[in-house]
Amino acid sequence: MDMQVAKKKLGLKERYQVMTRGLDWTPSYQKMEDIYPYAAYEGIKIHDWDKWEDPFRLTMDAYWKYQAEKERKLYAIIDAYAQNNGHLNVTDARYLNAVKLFLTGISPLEYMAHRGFAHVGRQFPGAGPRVACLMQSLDEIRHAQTQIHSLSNYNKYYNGFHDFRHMLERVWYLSVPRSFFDDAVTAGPFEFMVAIGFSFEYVLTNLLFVPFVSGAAYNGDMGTMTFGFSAQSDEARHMTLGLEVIKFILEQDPDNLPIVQRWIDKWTWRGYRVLTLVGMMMDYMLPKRIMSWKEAWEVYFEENGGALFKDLARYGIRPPKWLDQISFGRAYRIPAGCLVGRRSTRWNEGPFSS
Amino acid sequence: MSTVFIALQTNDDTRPIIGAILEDNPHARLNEQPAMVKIDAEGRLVVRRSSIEERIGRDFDLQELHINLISLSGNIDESDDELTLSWGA
Ligand SMILES: [Fe+2]
Ligand SMILES: [Fe+2]
Repeated sequence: MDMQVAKKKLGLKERYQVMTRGLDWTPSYQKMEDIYPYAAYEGIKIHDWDKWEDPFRLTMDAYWKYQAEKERKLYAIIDAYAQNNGHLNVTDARYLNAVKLFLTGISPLEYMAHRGFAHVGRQFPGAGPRVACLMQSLDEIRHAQTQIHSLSNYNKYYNGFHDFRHMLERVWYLSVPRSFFDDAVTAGPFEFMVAIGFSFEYVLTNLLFVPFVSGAAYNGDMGTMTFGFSAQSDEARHMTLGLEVIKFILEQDPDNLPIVQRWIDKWTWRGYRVLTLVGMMMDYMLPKRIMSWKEAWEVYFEENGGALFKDLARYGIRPPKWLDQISFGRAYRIPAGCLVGRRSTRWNEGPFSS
Repeated sequence: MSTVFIALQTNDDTRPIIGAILEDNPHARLNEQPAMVKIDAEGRLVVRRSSIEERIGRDFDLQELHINLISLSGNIDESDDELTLSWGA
């Protein structure tokens, strides 16, 4: 009798090659420039797209498996929370203001991120980043949907949750997050990656999700806690995509450095202005606080961002401009609503821009 | 030396993972926060599949980490056996 030999499973690295490069092909009857019309105009020079690799080496088949598991966990908690009238157990009614701020200021940006990554995933000529952008695009629409779905339970009992999309376009302080993403998605694919993948996801997203969501848990809001952590579990991948794309661009050509530095300066500043919304939530809207915005800033921006920029110094990257202004803002807790009277009150310019 | 970190949800799935990480990285510090833990380590942190498998008594795919992962920092490298976080500088 013949021995049945189990077919050897591919290792992670081979599987990644097969499921990214292996699915790509070189077109022969259309020119690459015609297929990828946005790849060159920003001035970024890429010589070898195959040099880009996702360090997690996640492939679409595994992606669906783990995302399905995340959704199962998420919906079990959301259902339990709604069935238990969990909304009656948040620490204090005023806590819900923080959730409204999230739903109006952040959830629509998740949707914009979905659109942006769908676009960029189409436009990059490399198979590796294309697959990673496809995953992120799917993640981001999942974030928008699960947030709206979780918070819809509050809409049954409380005012102010019903028209968040409409609010985004009309409430003045929401012009900050809105303009941030409107500008990012209308940039070229490389600038979008530096703006969202790097400056927002890598440098700033921990400040949005980690302390705030932990704060939601501390205030009895299981709905926000579960969608927040579920979304954040994708963020590790998003941050990695942002960091790897930056390193990749810088390694590809020395001419890319000044362009990337300019984008980092611009988008870190703009992202910081968006995050003042989170400062507002953390310092003024959590009845039980876990840490101040200043403390969160020290842990996630100064310590962690500091390590990041020290690491990137080998490529010639320096920390983003206007850090002194940013430090001033966080030390004196200047959230979005309190900026009037500062020299720069506009979200879209740096303090020293002419 | 810069600090790398990994943050995980606090639940039954992650308890053995956190235990394995702390054992494999004696220099790591455990930082417990509401609903989550953050593990900080100078320079480098490694997550080993074999150490997790020993604790849970079944096969473990390191990509299962994504389910309960909250965040991390550092340059990442993942193979079938190890996930490493490190800062070069
Ligand atoms: Fe997201
Ligand atoms: Fe994201």
